[in-house]
Amino acid sequence: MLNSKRYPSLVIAIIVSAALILTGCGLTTEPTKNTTLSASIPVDGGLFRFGMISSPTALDPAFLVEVNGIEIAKELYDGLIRYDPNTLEVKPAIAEKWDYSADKKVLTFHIRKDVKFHDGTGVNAQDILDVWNRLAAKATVSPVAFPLEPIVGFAEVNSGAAQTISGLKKIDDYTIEVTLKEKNAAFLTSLGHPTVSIYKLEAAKKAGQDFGTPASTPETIVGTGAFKFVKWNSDQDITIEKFKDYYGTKAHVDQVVYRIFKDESTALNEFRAGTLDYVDLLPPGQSQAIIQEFPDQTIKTITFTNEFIGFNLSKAPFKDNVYLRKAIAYAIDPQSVVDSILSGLSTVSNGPLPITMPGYDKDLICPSFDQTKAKEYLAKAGYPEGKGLAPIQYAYNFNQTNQIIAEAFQSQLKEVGIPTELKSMEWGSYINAVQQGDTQMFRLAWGADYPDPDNSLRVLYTKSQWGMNNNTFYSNPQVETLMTQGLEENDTLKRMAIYKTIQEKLVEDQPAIWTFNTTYLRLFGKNVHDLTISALDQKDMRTVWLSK
Amino acid sequence: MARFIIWRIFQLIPVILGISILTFLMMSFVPGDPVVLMLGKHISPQTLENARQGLGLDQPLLTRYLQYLWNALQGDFGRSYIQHQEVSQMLYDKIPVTFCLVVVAQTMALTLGVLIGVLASVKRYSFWDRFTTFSALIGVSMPTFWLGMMLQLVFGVLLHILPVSGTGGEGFHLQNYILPGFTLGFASMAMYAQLIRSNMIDVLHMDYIRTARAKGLSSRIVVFKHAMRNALIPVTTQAGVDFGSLMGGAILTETIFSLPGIGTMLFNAISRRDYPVVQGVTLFLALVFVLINLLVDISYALLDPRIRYD
Repeated sequence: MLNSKRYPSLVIAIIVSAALILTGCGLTTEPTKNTTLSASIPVDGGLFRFGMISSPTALDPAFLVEVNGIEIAKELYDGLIRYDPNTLEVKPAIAEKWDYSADKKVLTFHIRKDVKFHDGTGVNAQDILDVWNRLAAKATVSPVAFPLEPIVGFAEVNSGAAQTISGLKKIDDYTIEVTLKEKNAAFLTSLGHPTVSIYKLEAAKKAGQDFGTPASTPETIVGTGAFKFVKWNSDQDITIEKFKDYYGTKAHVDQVVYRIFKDESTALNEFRAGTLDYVDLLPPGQSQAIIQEFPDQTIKTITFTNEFIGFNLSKAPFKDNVYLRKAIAYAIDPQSVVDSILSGLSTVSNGPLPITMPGYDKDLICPSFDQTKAKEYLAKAGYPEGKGLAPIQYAYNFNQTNQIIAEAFQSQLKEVGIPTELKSMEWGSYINAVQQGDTQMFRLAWGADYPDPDNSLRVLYTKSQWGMNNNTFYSNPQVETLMTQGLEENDTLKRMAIYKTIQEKLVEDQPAIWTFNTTYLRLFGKNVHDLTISALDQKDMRTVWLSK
Repeated sequence: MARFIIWRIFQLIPVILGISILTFLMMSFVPGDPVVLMLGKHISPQTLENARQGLGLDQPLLTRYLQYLWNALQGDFGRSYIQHQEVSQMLYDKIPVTFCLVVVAQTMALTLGVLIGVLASVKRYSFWDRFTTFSALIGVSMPTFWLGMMLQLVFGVLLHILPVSGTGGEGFHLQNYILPGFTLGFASMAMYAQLIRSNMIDVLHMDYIRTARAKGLSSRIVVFKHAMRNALIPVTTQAGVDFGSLMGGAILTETIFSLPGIGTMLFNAISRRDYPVVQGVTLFLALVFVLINLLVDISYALLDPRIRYD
């Protein structure tokens, strides 16, 4: 019923929300909290109510193609390794240790003997081999078997020519040997992706094609993580509960219920009504008002997602005209967009790597807003003051934010004499056009799957990915060689030096303009403590606890 | 009447078949590769090939359609490319939610709309009459999104008397459908009120009403039994058409109130080229439209004794 103490603030919230919904404007900036780290001793128990925007598409590790599925799956299934939630360093999980052979092509994993499936049975080397062979199999049709690609024999299994990956060998019940095709310094890190995590295959087979869908039951989803599956009400909620026989540090909360919303404003209203402990995404354009309404209850996370404007280098006007690309890079001002359109809630990128990614070169000098230089480069490109330059098509997938940002960039480009025409499309048609090379200049973003620079650079800037993820159709033999060297170099310092050179080369060639590092604002209850959110945008439910 | 109903049901077969062919063709020719959308960013030539073969998309269009039709006749509508769930199960889960939402919305809209409309026609040029006109204007112009959010804030957040969103778990929980029902039905309510008002004004001036009054019947009986029954016919037609439209078109309301209905299911499926889901939902909605039209035709006969289908 009506709580008199909350009445004034709620009335203000209603008025502010009404105004914001109608106008879409933000208020003045207030600082936000960066962590929920608490000095108190954690309390066990309770139900953590997680407000999730949009439903996971699957909880089958072989189909973890989107963030919400990964978010829940990483609690249900453990892999051989995991990432430290704060630093993202590789830490032991099901594998307690590992050794490299002298040529760095063979990796031997030593499996913990106390790891149990959620049905109480033990995990051994064969379980790992079985799950990985299923992931690679052609019949599985997994879109996310990529961490296993570097293993000898993966391609044969994936094409249906073999049943088991020849590079996977069981040495004994608790030791497996993985043979790689080439030296690969990113392989170990990629094994932290939940797609290669371990579950009981026998139980999954009972569910058949229903494995990991809302038709799942605790008898079919039998994982190895700190939480076990309880139920999935399609498009409504997913419940998981603490696994008491977990081999690692046990979770504090008894249960987590992921309530699924289709709209951020609804989740925010549920939080206001006191029915959620955490909201994963907040309504766009309202961040400053929310920070004011809930002081010290928001967390800002800069993710591994880098947004960029790509240039189609396969055709005019950008083919063989780096000056025109530079002119555009100097003409646009992402910072003004962050300040005026994104309510201060985004981070301007500085180069092809997200600023939180290992290997990011903070000293990298990218073209930044300078209209004089933009005009100079435009003249060098053969279009003094824009004369003779036909309107450039700037394509983007339609949503309100992309539309407003595109209009802002269009206006900035016009100021230096670069004419553009905007073309918005719905996602399906858009990605098709971008991959076919039917656009001139386009907006895209890439979110890294694991904390390694290779995962952000190779897919976007090598020839083998043309028309798939490399839609600028960029290729530089020197960069390709450096990418290979980067992957084969196991000395971290030397490796990062290689990626520094790659970043410099990319800035020099300017196949894209890197605009924003996706940044999120999250809202948590006053009783929520030790909630960590990594740059991979994953929230660790093992650490979180609720005060009474 | 029985022959008429059987004939109309028989007509369903070519309608459904035609719709299935049209939907299949339209989805096949819309730009955007369903496999690329399914795979997300992790695409390689081998994963593309595996997925195309796995989904049967490497087969010619006609083969795919005939296979679909054969499976559908056996009750198998395939699996969602994105959610990996059986389409029939998805429909089974989501139809009741949308059905409950639309029934609550239409019940509220019709009850309130008819009451306000009758009151406005009887008390012409009074406060109620002006209120009807004003609320019709507001109802048609008020954005669903804004109305839904305001209702959530007032009744869910401030007063704590109704849930903000969700279905409330298994089974039907009326309290969870009141706010979304009102949001969805508000525009219809205003329209029904206006429709009833204008029809009632016409009917109330007819000879048989004057005769009824001259016979000494009470005003209540004249208005509710004799006049309203005739005035309801156009509203019935409109409500029937609305019911069908709302079954597939309550996307905004379902989104705001986190109701897992078929409107949002269809919208997401189209944008992600999830062919089996689009086919399944479209066929279901076609069936609903045809059945609703049949019910509307039957209701004419019940409301107007002059209409007979024999």
